[in-house]
Amino acid sequence: MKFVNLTLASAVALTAGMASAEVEVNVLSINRDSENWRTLYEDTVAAYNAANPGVTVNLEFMEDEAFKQKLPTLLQSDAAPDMFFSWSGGVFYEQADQGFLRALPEDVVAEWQQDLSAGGMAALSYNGKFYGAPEASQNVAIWYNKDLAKQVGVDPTAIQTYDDLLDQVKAAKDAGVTPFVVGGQDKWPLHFFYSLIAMRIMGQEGMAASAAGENGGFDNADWVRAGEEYVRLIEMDPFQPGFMGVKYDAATGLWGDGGSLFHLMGDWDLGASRGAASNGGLTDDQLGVIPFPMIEGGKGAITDTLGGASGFVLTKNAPDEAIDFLKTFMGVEAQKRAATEGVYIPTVPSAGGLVEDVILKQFAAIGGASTYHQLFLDQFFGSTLGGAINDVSAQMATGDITPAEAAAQLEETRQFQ
Amino acid sequence: MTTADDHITIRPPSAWQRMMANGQLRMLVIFVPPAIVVFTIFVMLPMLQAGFFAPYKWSGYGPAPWAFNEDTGRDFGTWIGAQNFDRFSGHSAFQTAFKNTILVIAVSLIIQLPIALLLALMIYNNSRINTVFRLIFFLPYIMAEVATGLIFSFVLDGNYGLSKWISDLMGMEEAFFPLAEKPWAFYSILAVIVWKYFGFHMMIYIAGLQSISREMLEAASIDGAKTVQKAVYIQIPLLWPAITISIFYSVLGGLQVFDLVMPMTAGGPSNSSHTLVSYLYNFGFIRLNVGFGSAVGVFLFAVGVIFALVYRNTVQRGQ
Repeated sequence: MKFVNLTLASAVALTAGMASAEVEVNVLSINRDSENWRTLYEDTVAAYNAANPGVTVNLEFMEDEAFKQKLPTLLQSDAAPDMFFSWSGGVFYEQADQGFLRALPEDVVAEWQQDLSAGGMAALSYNGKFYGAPEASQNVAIWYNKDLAKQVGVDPTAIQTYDDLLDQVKAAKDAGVTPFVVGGQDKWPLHFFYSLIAMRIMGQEGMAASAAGENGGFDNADWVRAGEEYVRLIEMDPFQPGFMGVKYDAATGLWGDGGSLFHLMGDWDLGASRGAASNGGLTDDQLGVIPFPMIEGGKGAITDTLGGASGFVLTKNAPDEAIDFLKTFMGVEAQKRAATEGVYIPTVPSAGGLVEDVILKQFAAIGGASTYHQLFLDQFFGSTLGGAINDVSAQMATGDITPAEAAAQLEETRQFQ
Repeated sequence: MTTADDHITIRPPSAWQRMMANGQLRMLVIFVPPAIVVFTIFVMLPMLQAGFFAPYKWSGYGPAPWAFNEDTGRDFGTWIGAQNFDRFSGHSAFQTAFKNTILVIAVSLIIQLPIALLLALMIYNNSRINTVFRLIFFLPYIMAEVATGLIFSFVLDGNYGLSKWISDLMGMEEAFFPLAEKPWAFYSILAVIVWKYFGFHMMIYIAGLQSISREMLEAASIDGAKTVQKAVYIQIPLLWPAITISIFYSVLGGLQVFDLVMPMTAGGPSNSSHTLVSYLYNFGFIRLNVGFGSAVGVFLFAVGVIFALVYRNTVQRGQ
């Protein structure tokens, strides 16, 4: 018995000693297909490990869909990572709400808000608590094909109002050019139209009121009007034939092949369309970007932006060392390198100016001038209501429901949440 | 005078004694428990779980909706009674999914099985050419569902698929995109279902036809029966047990259609081509409504069980 006790005691002492000598921080990221993004991560981890004896950061990558499916189980298991990638939005809110995440200490929050990005930090906050550090910011804007604009005889940079946009859509139709390509089967590309129109009509306050269930929630005049303006576009038959059977990847390939005059999509589309196009896609010289136009009588500003905000969040058992590493991982130096190498558009304001790619620069400018950044509605409102927004965007595009029915359906879904 | 001994009759050994004697009991003890354990863990428990989850609003985080979450000081889920059932029964996408599932079953019974039967009657005799045809007709069934769905999503794509080729051939100005058109999307899936599974039913029928005695058919021939008469009056009636099994598979298979829908249309356009299972998956699990998904699952399970019970006790009675 004595012997057993002794062995046990020494084993405990040994593990305790090991624990204090070596802290492991396990990081789970989604796949970073672009080589320089992956290298950036690996270099940051290697440098941190070298500079911090006693801490070992392990970096693991997982394919996006597998990541989404495994995460709920993983977070409840002993194998939960100490930090993981998050798209923010509804799934993140659920994780925070159920207590799977570790909130940052207040002094850390104050420091990071200063050094990183206050807006980005806000995207990774829930009920006044902050859970992670932001990385890339994404913005949605209207891309246009300069060659086709010339062929149609329009100047997209002159678009100020939604009516101007519709005029150019009509001009494109008349000239036999497809105005927009869209991956309708995925639904979310269609929800960009509905979302941006709604944002332009009701502005930040209106959107917040809907989320809070005020003014009838979604069942009010603003949302109905948003649907009506969206249907005005739909009735012009602006999309490529068979758009409801096409996913985003194929649609952006069509865009890269010069398939339409406009494309309403986020900055990530630059790489995606070039990858999916048959001939390398459109060159920087052929591409232009404009913000989504104003809507007459709307309360939103043309500088209000719709997009994503992603980053890394901590899990509830993450050690303090994980907080320290996160600061480096998503830190100013890493983001500056991302900006200069054109890896992504950083959220850190001081890094935004370093973006060199001509197109990404325009998106960085749109993001930099943002007066109100709205997270993608399908993420912002959580998976159920967000999914319903995607549904009604598709149903209006196929003429199945009216704008009033769409608004009523959304409100019904919101009330159930 | 009779004695008591005269009345002693030798009773045959009971079933129990017989089992003890011929080793059946030992077999049961060895083989039944693993089967029961596996069946309980992988079939019964998940079904029961779905039943327990159905009255909750639950995102799937936490071990169970009624479990207490120490980090938040409340349960993981919220009890909402029958609300999940109310919600899906009033949901237009669910109603469409239900209609579509009925349609799958109807098409299987009215189109697929007769085609399978006709082909089986044509090629059930053993000959080299018939073997080749059997293989060809059976091939679609061998292919994985998801792969089939993907292949057909290309075939039916108006940009580069067979659909484009046919549209061009017919001189249509705009290519035809069956999977993007609401009236066509689900019919395209139905066509693929018929194409994929008729070979399976055909094989069931061929096996049944081959077991029908040749003498009976020869006798009918001698009596002057023609091919059609032999099929209608002898082969099909004798094939009835095989047909009832094939109907059973068709209906239960129809209730489970999922893997073809996801790659072909993902339930679109505008949720018009969902089946019950793809509806459950999309609205339950993808959208983190595990309680809602479980409620749909319970409904689907109930439909399947009721059908199986009724069918077993009516059509298949006495077989």
